Amino acid sequence: MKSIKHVFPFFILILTLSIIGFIPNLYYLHLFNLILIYSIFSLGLNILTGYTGITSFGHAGFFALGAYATAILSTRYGVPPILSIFFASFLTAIAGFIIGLPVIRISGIYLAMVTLGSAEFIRLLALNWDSLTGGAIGISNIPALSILGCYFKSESSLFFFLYAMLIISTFIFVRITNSRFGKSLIAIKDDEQAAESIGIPCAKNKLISFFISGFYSGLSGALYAHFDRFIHPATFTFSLSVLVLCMVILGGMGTVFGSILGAIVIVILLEYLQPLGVYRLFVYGMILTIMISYFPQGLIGILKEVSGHFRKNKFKNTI
Amino acid sequence: MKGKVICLVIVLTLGLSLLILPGFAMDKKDIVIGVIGPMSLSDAASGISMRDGVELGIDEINKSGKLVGINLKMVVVDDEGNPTKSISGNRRLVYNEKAIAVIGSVASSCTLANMQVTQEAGIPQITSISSSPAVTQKGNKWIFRTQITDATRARNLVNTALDVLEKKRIAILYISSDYGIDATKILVDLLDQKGYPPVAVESFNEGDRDFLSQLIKIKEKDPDTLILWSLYEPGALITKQVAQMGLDVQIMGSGGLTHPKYVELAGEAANGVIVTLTYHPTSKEPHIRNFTEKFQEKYGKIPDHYNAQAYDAVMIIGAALEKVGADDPLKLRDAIASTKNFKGISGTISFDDKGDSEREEMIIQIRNLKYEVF
Amino acid sequence: MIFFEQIISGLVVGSIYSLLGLGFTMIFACTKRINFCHGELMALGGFVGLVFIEIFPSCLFLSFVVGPLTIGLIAVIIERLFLRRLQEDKPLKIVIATIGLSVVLSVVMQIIWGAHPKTYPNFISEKPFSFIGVKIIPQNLFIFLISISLMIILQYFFLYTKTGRALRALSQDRYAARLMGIKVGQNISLVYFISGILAGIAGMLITPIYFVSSSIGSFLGLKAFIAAVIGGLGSVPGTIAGGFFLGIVESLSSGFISSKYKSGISLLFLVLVLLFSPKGLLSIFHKVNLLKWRKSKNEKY
Repeated sequence: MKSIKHVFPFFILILTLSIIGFIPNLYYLHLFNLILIYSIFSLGLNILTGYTGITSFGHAGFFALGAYATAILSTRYGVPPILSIFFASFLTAIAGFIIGLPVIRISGIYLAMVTLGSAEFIRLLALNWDSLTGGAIGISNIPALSILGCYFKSESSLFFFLYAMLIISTFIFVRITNSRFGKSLIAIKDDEQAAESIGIPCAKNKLISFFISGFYSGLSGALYAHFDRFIHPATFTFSLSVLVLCMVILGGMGTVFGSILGAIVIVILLEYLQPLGVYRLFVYGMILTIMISYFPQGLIGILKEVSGHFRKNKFKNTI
Repeated sequence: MKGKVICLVIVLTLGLSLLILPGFAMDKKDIVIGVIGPMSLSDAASGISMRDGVELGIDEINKSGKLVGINLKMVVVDDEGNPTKSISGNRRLVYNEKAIAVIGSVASSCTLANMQVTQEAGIPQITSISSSPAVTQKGNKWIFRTQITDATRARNLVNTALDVLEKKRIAILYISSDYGIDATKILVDLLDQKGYPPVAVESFNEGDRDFLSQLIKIKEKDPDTLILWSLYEPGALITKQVAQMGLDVQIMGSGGLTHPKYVELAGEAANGVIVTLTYHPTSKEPHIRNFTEKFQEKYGKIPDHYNAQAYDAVMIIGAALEKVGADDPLKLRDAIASTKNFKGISGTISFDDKGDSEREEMIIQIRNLKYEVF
Repeated sequence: MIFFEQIISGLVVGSIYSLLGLGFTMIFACTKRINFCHGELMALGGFVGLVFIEIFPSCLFLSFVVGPLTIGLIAVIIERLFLRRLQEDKPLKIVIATIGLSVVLSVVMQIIWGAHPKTYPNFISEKPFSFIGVKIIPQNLFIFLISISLMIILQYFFLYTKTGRALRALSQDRYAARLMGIKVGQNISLVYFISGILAGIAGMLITPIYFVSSSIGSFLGLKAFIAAVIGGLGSVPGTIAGGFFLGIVESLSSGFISSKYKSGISLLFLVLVLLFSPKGLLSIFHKVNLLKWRKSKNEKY
């Protein structure tokens, strides 16, 4: 009974937010769809950076892998998008596992560099392997999403699909992070030696979190490919890795809703500041720097602190 | 804690003022012409050239008063040369700013990506810089271009090299991006057809600053001509390094080498380079001279062909608006498509059924750091 | 013959990577952190050099002194404002903060100096001379010599001066260093100042041959960083060796395979080195390293 009470507000929230799907302005809908995709992507980075404490500078590589896998499968071999998305995510998860293998030997900055190097490598592969990836011309006319002959071509139907995907993936994400396994990841982040000494298999758990992270990132990349229906190596540069890192940090590392909040704020901010021209990127860079050096707990952390502050005051007043 | 609070307050005020600022900048009463292109990061120079040309064109149309009851307004969106951002940028222009027509983008990959949006929405789009033939070969009837395609440009260069200069051993050095790869395929095919296959075909990556290894390889093949397919910055570096290596070749080049900054950066080494251009500032024709003077007056610099082609794109849209008004995008598209013998700054423009405006280019040689007609 | 030409052209590029890589190494050696906006500081050095050369057109030497000093000061300001709070935190936080700063710096440069690249004439004669059949411009040789001499100076500084020893102590155990009376904050600022000066020198030297633009920093910075990691981040000779190694690998792979795979091959080297010898290629020779030798000598007394 208690659990239903606990879940009920979320249920209401989910229903209320689905109203967004009926917004007539296609541009806003497009932005919301982008936010949904980036939310899944930043969840993917969050399990690695926020929970396990492994910083990755190469998540654009996973995103690219997911996008290219589904694009090639669905355009070349006519695999139905819904299957190819699933396949692409799984493939990326395996790639995440492989790229994560060095975790056994190295950590910290060195590991971050491996992820950076592999992401660049994937991008170069996409750029130079013309026969498979279309090279510098990119892949266009990627089929729209469809389930059993029902197409998600319009922005608003796509919104509901992506929204459902985000809810499912967030639900699974919460289940993972609340499980014993999820708690062990946080233990690894806080103190790896201590975690090892109480019997947590650190290397194994880190690899699993790489796998999950790869899955989420690949899923978002694959969804992105069917959403924009055009992919090109120029999309998957280092700056995309920085963008998603910025979302995670801004929202708050190690919080589920932080990732989603980060995606919302960054996408809307960057679009809203368009009229400012190049100054927009100044704001973006400053956010990244100031957040990490002054508010490492992120927006969620700030909100908590502020609400805690008020609560304390209330408490004082009652006395 | 206190420091944190102060910092938070500063960030919040900054953020809020930023939120309020753009609100003032937007005024939706006018007819909007969207401009999409890279305004920041590495490609910014070309995007800004395009924007300036459009701005001048819109000013002139508004001043001339030919469009009754319509005030044209330019809205610029920055796509950073990134196809993803180009798509959402174009959506912004079409659905949010309610643009009647869109001009852009710069990189062919961006145009290929974002023209899906205008096609879906049924808004005419003119690209004034993208030169990849693929742009107009997708069967999209909403896309036009005032740029010469790479196919024509490659043909012009090859013809000049083989027939006018009577060169035989041609080497190609190209940028490995959508810009260079497409064009190189065309170049190699053309040269093969003519019976003079290229002696060396080398590429370099975007961002590269050093081309010695490629030039050493090219030098070994002993070419007499080097066709350079690149943007202006690496183009200038290559030209300098060719001179430093003592490689004795006739350098010929694509649109990138026609940028005024190219000569400035390459310096003495640029002398003798042959390029093809649609617009040349020393032209004697009155309407071109008029444009050059007005541009110089407004921006304090000599216009380039990017400015000219963007200006022409606006003028074509302006002429079409004059004919059919701004009510129906389909009518506007048809009016643009029926443009015939439009006397533009960058040549006489007639759109064919694909939306291309192939026309003659001038062969230009750089002498004494100035572009002069060959 | 062509092989030698490629090797020499590799050395030419490599000397630039080495010069830039020294800044990364300087900071990593003393604080175990990475300053990702070093490349942008280098570009800023080029622009500032441009300004000073316009101010003092007659006295080149003066601008060559004032330019790098300015960048050094800017680096210290950046450190004080944004990075100081993170020095005690996890190393990666500084990396993330400096990535943000690199975006900010490149935007600032674009706002001030515009989107077009800029350049100024070489300091020394433009005329190339021939060396085993390869034409080299004096500026490149100059850069080569400067990187080598900076390596010697820095190595001497680290090994034999009191401040250098203090900095080394800092890198080993900050807490213990503080107990020994080493002023941690001041010394970290000093490290940033020196690396800023290195960036400034690199920027001023590179501008005439590679041009300076707001986007060059991230590109060259990343390359130099990869070079430093391959050679051994935190070791001065290692960084120099890594720079030359990467330059030669790049030029040989574009000379004999294809320039398309150039970056791919260097990335492959990066990953391999990180996997099998994270302290860099040169750490293989660490048994004969000067540092260790001195340590064992000290232990005797």
